[in-house]
Amino acid sequence: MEDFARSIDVAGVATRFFEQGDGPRQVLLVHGGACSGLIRSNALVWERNFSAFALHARSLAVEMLGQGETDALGPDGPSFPETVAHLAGFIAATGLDRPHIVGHDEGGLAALTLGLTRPDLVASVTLTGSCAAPSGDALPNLTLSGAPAPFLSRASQAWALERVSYANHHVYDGRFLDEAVRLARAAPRDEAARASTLRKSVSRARSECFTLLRDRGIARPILLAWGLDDPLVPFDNAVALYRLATPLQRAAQLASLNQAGNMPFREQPTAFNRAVISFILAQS
Amino acid sequence: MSFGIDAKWIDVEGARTRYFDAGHGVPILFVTGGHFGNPIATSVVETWDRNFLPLTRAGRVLAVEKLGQGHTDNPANDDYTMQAVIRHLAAFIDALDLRGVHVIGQSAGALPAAALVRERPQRVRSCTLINTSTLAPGIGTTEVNLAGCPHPPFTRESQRWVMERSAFDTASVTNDYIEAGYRVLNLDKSHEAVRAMQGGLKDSLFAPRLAVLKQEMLDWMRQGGLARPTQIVWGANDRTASLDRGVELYRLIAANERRCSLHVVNQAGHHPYREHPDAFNELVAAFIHDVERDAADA
Repeated sequence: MEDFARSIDVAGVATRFFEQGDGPRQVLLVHGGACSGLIRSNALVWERNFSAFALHARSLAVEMLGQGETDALGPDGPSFPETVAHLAGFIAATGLDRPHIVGHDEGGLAALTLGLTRPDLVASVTLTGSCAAPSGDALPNLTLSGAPAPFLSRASQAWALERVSYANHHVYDGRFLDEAVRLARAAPRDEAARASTLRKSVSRARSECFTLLRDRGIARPILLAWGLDDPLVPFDNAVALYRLATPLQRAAQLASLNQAGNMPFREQPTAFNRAVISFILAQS
Repeated sequence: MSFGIDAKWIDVEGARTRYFDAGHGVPILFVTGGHFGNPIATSVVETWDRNFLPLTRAGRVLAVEKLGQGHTDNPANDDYTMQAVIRHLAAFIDALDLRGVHVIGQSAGALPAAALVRERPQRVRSCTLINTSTLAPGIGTTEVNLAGCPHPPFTRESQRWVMERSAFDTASVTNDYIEAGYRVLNLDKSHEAVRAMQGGLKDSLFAPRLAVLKQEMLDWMRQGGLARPTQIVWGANDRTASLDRGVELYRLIAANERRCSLHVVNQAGHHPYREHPDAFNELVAAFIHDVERDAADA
């Protein structure tokens, strides 16, 4: 996947992305803010999906504002609206024409926000392991509490990946963790940075999505592709989000992937890719 | 003739059996829902008319009429049981010497579809199970949803009433579909099955034997028996087999079989493949493609 790295200026922000494949159909993969900042997220999280999508579409994976190799706006980290605006700017800058957006966790929330507020920009929205799902009056989720020091070390990031997964095999395979460690070493950040403005504005963005989904519905097809064993955003939360989306959108699908945690696209890539690709192909 | 092709006939252990067969490659076998002996409505193979030919791109597609259903003969010796249906189905795939079958069963067709894995593990490669309270644990609400039909039995109106009650949107209940059911409902053999079942066999034989079989199947699945790639496709708005039933069935199978996934389709009732044929056909074609690739790699 690294062979397909490119860079583009998005309103003054140098933005790294990966691109493979061509054709009229386009898929845009948006990574998460990665498990509350305990992992230096980057687009290589999609290394088991990117090329599979490229067989059917022009496949792109973008790095969100202030993450991966994409520049930040300032030292405090971006707000969520700034992150969404950057994503919309990226779509315009790359000349994408209504891509199918696939977003993980915070990336899913950004994709959903775009689908709700700028349906003209997207063909469909797929969410996976996303904090966009309602969590009800949930007890505090302890999955990621008490991360081992030092912050953002290889061991600490691997710990977080294992904690959100069903099994550990995907953590040490491939290049994602290496890249997360490289990024952490290249630009060290202290733990306090976790409590960035992004985190604070995420809960507001979720609430806005709930309001729009409930009152107006989403004008584009939506797929929720979830790990049955997601410890961070449980499958039941996905069912709750699905029930929120279904009354006003006929083309709403829910897929559950077995033996997968918060990153079903890494743990069960074959089943995940199939669910997403068949959903996208059914639209055309 | 259905699906634009002529029916075929084969003798299966003495039962003249009607089926449809088109395309080439890996066998994909549709098993229709419904039971024999219902005077209000009958499930017919034409229920797959939006899937049968489109899925020939994925392989050789077959749709068989179960023992006592459609135009297939009634069971010999009044053996009106699901056990007899399963024996007949297994004998059918033996008779055609089908290997590596991808079996697709809906509603009361899903239990015999899964049972084929138990009966003929060497012949069945994957399962697709659709809106089934016959196979899923828990209480199905078919008898509640379909109680109190306001129309006389054996009529187009009763057939239509049942199919419309089963759908999210009645648009999928086409005239051709109703006509196919009406014709079967009024075959002499269908009247004979109704006389036998409603005359007492349903309560004394069929239902109690089915209850035992269902318990066996659930125990077998809980113990990991359904060791085949399995996808569960569910219409979200089914009044007879609610989404909760589908999730429960999924969890039960997923506990033992990694290659199990659930796909819920919105604004779809008991027959999601009719209400969302594009979504369904893409799911099935992609599933079969992946299963075949894995099998070839091994």
